[in-house]
Amino acid sequence: MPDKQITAFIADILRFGLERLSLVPADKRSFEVQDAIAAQELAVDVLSSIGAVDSTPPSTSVIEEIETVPAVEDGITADQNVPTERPSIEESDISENQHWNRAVVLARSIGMGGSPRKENKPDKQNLNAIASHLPHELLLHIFEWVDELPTLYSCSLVSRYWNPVAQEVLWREVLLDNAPRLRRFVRGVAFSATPRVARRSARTRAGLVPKNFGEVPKAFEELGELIKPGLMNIANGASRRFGVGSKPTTLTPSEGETHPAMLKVIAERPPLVINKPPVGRLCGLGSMVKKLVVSSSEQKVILLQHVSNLLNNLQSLQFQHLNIEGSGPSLDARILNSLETLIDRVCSLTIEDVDSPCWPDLCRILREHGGRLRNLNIEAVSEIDAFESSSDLSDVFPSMPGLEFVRLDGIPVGPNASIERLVSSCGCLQAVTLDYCLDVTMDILMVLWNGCPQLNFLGLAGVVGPLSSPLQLEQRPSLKTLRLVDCDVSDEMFEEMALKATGLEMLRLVFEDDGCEGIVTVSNELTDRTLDALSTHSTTLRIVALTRCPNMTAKALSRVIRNNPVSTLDLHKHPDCSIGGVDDKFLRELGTSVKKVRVLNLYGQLDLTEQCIVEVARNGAWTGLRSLSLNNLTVGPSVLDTLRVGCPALEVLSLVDCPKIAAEAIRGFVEGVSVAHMRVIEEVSGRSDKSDVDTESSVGASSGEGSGSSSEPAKEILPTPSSTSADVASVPGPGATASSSSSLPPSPSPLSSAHLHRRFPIRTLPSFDSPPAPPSPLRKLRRVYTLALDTEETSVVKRRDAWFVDEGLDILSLWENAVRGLAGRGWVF
Amino acid sequence: MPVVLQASDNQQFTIEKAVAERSMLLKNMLEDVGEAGEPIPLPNVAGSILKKVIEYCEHHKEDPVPSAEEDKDAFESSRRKADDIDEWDAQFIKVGNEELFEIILAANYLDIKPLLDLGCKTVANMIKGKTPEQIREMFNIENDFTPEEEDQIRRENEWAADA
Repeated sequence: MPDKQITAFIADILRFGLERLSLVPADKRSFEVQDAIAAQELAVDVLSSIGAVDSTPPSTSVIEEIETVPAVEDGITADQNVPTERPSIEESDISENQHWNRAVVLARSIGMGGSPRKENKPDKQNLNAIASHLPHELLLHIFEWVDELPTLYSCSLVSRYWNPVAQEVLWREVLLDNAPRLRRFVRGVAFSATPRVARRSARTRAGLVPKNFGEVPKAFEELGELIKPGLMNIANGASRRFGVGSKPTTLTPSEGETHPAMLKVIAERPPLVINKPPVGRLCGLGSMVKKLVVSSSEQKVILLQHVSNLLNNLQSLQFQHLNIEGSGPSLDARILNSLETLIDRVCSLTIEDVDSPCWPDLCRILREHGGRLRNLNIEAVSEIDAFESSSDLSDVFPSMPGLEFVRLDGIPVGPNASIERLVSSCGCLQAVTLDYCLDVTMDILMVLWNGCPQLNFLGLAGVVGPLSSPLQLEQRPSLKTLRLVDCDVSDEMFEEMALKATGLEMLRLVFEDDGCEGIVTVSNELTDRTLDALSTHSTTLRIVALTRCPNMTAKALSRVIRNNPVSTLDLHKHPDCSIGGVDDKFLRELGTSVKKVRVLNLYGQLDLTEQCIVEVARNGAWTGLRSLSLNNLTVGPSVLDTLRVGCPALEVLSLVDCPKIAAEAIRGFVEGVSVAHMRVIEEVSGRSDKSDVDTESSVGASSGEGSGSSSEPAKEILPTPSSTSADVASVPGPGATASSSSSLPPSPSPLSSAHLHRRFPIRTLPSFDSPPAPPSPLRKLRRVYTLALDTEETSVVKRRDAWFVDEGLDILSLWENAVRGLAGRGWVF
Repeated sequence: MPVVLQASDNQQFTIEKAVAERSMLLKNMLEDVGEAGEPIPLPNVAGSILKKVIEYCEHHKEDPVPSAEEDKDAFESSRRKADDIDEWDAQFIKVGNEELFEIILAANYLDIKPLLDLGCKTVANMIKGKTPEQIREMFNIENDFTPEEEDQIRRENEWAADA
């Protein structure tokens, strides 16, 4: 009677685990203790789901769990009576088992016109509501826009028609961001893989089928075969943890010291190979999971080993740095070890928070289980740039011949020879990023460029060893993206690269590490020769991200823009970085070349003045802009009024950490009213005339409320102070930048300007050739990012880095988008 | 040359070619058959809905046409948000549920991706944060689960139940 054995077996494991627990009370957070508890919880969960035990909802906090051990023990005692509680199972249910995959059953029942068990309710009106029979692909398309789990959960519970579609989205890419969710997921996977016939517990509890206690139906033996993979795996996982003998993949009574209970079970059964995933639908919903993202610091990830066989279609496994501000603990090698069988199957593996303790294990796992990988992405813990180790990847790369995408950040790849190994072992490489890999020199640029005929994406950061011989590159038209951050580059190298990368679409040439003397020197030595090479040889550049080096001129950059279809120009620098500054003169001299640019990033360019930006935008240089970041700039609200005129196509604007632009000004900008007078000054001013003017000058609907509703008492919204008026007046053309829609130029003083408003509500046009500013919102505006507001409002979003992600300019998006574009559809990475 | 569209109820609409070409279906059709001047029958779209769709296409006739190439653009971020809707579109799509779904079906049939996205995003925003019962009420959907099935689904999907 296999069912009884399984139950007893699990119960034994539970008891065994508890004994072990009583021996190790010292460290409640130790890995073994957590693993033991986790295995037990899961066993109880699964047993309860098939009706073998009646478990109470388990608690979630680790500490709490350990403190409630006695309670669990009570549960175990109850387990011993399991046979008497088992519900009967009818023959008819066995046949249902053939169709136990509910999605299929449900989909079918739609076609049959309703549930076989439940009569349709003819009295309900409008059952033909269009939402009930929207084509599957449209419903799917809707659900794909839903990005919240609880909403998708709700959708799965709406109806039989909605359920499989919602679950398709819900289960395809699974992000398990905390321990309770992880546990519930594992339980859900195990439960969904448990044959329906065994799920009578629900009905039993509901009092529906309380007959024939203790009688084990003969058909249950067949059923046992279905239950085994999940349960045996649990048992297997738990026993491995406790050193209870038996190989990880096969239950045989041969090796080592084996727990008596286990021996008993094993003796009565033929060896059961359980590493092979169950076939067909037997995996339940777990087989829908293509991508699994877990937290790199969450020890309960080991729970996944118990259902790894049920995730038989998994393509991508990611250990991400989730939920932890700053640096968290590094990844535990035991987690990796416990998930070997999962890693064996995936073709995409991302591991963040790697540090030296787990590195040798990771190397071994990749060597032994990385054979199917197409994408490998490993990143060191964030608190360090890189770590060192005696193990490197030179003998690992040959085991991963299918690699197409490799990103290694801060890990000990090995010396240049290791990269040569990578190139010779992996003939399909399309995208390579090597960041802060300490032992390589710039020679690897040539190794990778010349050694990878399909190279599309090449990224290097922190590679400082100089070239040992002049760069000689092969023609590489496949190369679309070249990203060089803090690398030892030179004008000569760019001349060679621009000549040989004939299809280059994106160039990121960035210097950030101003603390490194070598980097500062390199950036000082780059000149217009680099830019001229790009304007002469390149014709396909669409995205240019450039740290402006001191010897680079705006004229040379504008030639690059003119000679290439540049639509994204990223000139940002970190506000504290001393390299890469762009000043007013530079921005002015770029002139109208920027007209074709759609995305412009000026984040951190603190030297840029309000006056300059107003001038440039008014002169029509920014008419093509769809998206703009002015993060950290100290410009005032006049800029917003100018943008409404100068950037008619603007869709997204990022104003994070702009200290002189208050929430009110942003609101006014979104609503389409003049906001130039809503100035923030650092100290509260005692001058009373300001507030008078403020209320009087309001032409726009909400501007008068400015000073009154300011949320920060230290700041005050004031009408245009005279200093700015002076700035503004010096701008060529009609001076009153500010409220171009509502004030008369020139405006000599705030007071007179306000009076003019009152007496002559005349709308004057700006002098350049652009449509007059409508007193209305920008037509295309979708989103403004800012931290100035306390709460999010329509199209105003309180987020710091979202703009970069939106535009795909952050480092992860860059990589992911490249891989996504190259990998082709239907492949989840 | 203008294009004439004929809805399922025989209503006819004469529109600019540039407007018609927002629909990939019509664009391809016009390329294939040339401009015969004959009304193009659209048996799957009612006149009232077609009118609405044309209004959308009129407004967006100058938008850059997203080519198939751009669709899978390597540099384009895939992480677009459901509430990323501009003001005009938001006003345009403020319609009753039935009409909203009709617009989605029409946009799908006529192959107007931005309008299809707009409709789907709108539905996604409507169901955001709602309970199953609220969603059923909103769209008049019958709960056809047995209690066992519902219990089962709850257990299996429980991991997604909270934010």
